[in-house]
Amino acid sequence: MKKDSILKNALILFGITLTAGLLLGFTYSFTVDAIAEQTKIKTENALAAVMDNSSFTEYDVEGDVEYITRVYEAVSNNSGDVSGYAFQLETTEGYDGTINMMVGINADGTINGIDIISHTETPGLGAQADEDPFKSQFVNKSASLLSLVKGNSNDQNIDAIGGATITSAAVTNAVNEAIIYYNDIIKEGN
Amino acid sequence: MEFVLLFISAVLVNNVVLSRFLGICPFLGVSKKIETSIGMGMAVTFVMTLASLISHIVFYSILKPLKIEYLYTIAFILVIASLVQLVEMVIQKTSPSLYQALGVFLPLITTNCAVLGVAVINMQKSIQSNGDFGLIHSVINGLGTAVGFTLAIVLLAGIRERIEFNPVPKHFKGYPIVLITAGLMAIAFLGFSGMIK
Amino acid sequence: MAKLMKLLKNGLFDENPVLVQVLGMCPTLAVTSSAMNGLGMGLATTSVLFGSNLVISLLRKIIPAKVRIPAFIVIIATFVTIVDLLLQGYIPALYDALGIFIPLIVVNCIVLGRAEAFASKNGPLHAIFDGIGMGLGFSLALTVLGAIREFFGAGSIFGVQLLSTSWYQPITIFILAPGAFIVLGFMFAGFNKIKASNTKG
Repeated sequence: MKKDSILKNALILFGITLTAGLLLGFTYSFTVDAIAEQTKIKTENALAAVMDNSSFTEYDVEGDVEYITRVYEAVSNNSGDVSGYAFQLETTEGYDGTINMMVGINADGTINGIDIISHTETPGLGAQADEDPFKSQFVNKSASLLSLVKGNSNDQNIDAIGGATITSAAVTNAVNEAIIYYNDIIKEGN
Repeated sequence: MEFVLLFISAVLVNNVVLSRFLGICPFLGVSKKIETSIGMGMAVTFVMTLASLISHIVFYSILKPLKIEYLYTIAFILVIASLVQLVEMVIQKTSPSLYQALGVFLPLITTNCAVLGVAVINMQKSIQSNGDFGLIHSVINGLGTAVGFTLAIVLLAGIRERIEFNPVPKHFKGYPIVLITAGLMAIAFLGFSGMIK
Repeated sequence: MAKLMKLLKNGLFDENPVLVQVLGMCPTLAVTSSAMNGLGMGLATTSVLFGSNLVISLLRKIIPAKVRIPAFIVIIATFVTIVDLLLQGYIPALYDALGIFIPLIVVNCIVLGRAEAFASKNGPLHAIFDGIGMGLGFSLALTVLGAIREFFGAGSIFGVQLLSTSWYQPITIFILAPGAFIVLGFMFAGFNKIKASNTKG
């Protein structure tokens, strides 16, 4: 009698789990395309934000990198020439978690811009890294190493966000890695 | 060395209760007395460390190969529920006095969002780091998180025992004053942030 | 019909899961840094409550008492995963904002609590209304808490800037962890006061 009910209990539990598994498998196959699409849209938006009016081809990441996850070559939609390069980075130096960002460097060796794809920095403080005036500091600087300072953003200086030094440093260091990659690997070899 | 930093980071810098908001229900409910808080802390430490170990293994040897990573929620919670059942049975057999002392708190650990939370966090960190954050990291993170939980809950119990006979405004008696106390503790722990970089 | 409406009112006020039953604390504190996030979490949890209460109620005569907790957990976890996948695919902004707290809905004591206390003992129609009522009560508490924290911490509600940052210095602590604890503490105190004056008058 007892053996019967243990078997019965186990079977019913198994039946519920099986149904659940099937239902989820179905839901997954239903949503997997939409989910992949969302990731694609995010990347495309970020690419468009850092290099205007271009089409992108992805290249393999070469060499020993820390945060660079993807490298793209940007070709201008107007002229057909190479307009520059875009780098996707995921830095763990942020205040709270990973900062996923995109950096665009023009073919003439100036920074076109940066865009933060996702982050979990503090709202009102570190989160300002994804807003002007912090973001716009990078525009038009030459692609050589940047220094994080407080108070000015001349030449290769980046003015840190007040109260968000760690976030500012993380973003600046990531941009520097992209700059190093650009100078060492792209300009030299291609 | 990196393990030591990981451990300290889990206990203080990203304290599971005071900065990640996990494990609040037992944190508020069990912290009336220091003694019970210590007991709860120990039980949670045991379950959480084991759960971190087993869910990591389950993820990499079952979910990933079968490409059913999206079933992680079900898989992890079943691991935790089974673990708690097992721990309950083992403690009941080996140390009836301990079982009496912990008694009703053991089954409650299943719904402690900190346990499931840490398993999910370990999984996410491991995926993001492409495997650098491995099994040992997950276990240490789980252990550190549990110690952080115990620290927070014992500290709160200490404060609650102290203010029990203090004159608290009428409508603040009970949960309101406990929450505000927790808030002040959270402010204190904010001081640890950025400590490890 | 009146009974169903009563169930809704119960979940919203008399037995509000957050303010009266003190359940679901983790998401209440964690995702209420803005009104929109609080509302989003509330609605996601309501969807799970709807599904899990319905299915558990329908299966209540089949699920053996001895294995009911694991069975409830599997059913709840299934709906949580469905909500997880749907948000990831169609509302990515909310998915990113709620983060780890989506899978944590499975250990939200409200969901398991209603399954055990109500859905396993009542018919499907009542179970649905109980689930929606509790879910809406949860959403209400979270949205209010989120609105208060967002208002003082950023000067906006639902993203609408009400206090211009040109003169209002946002009190960031409200959006951080301590702010959640403290504002909720005051909300509880306020709710206590309302309850006390209701019973007096």
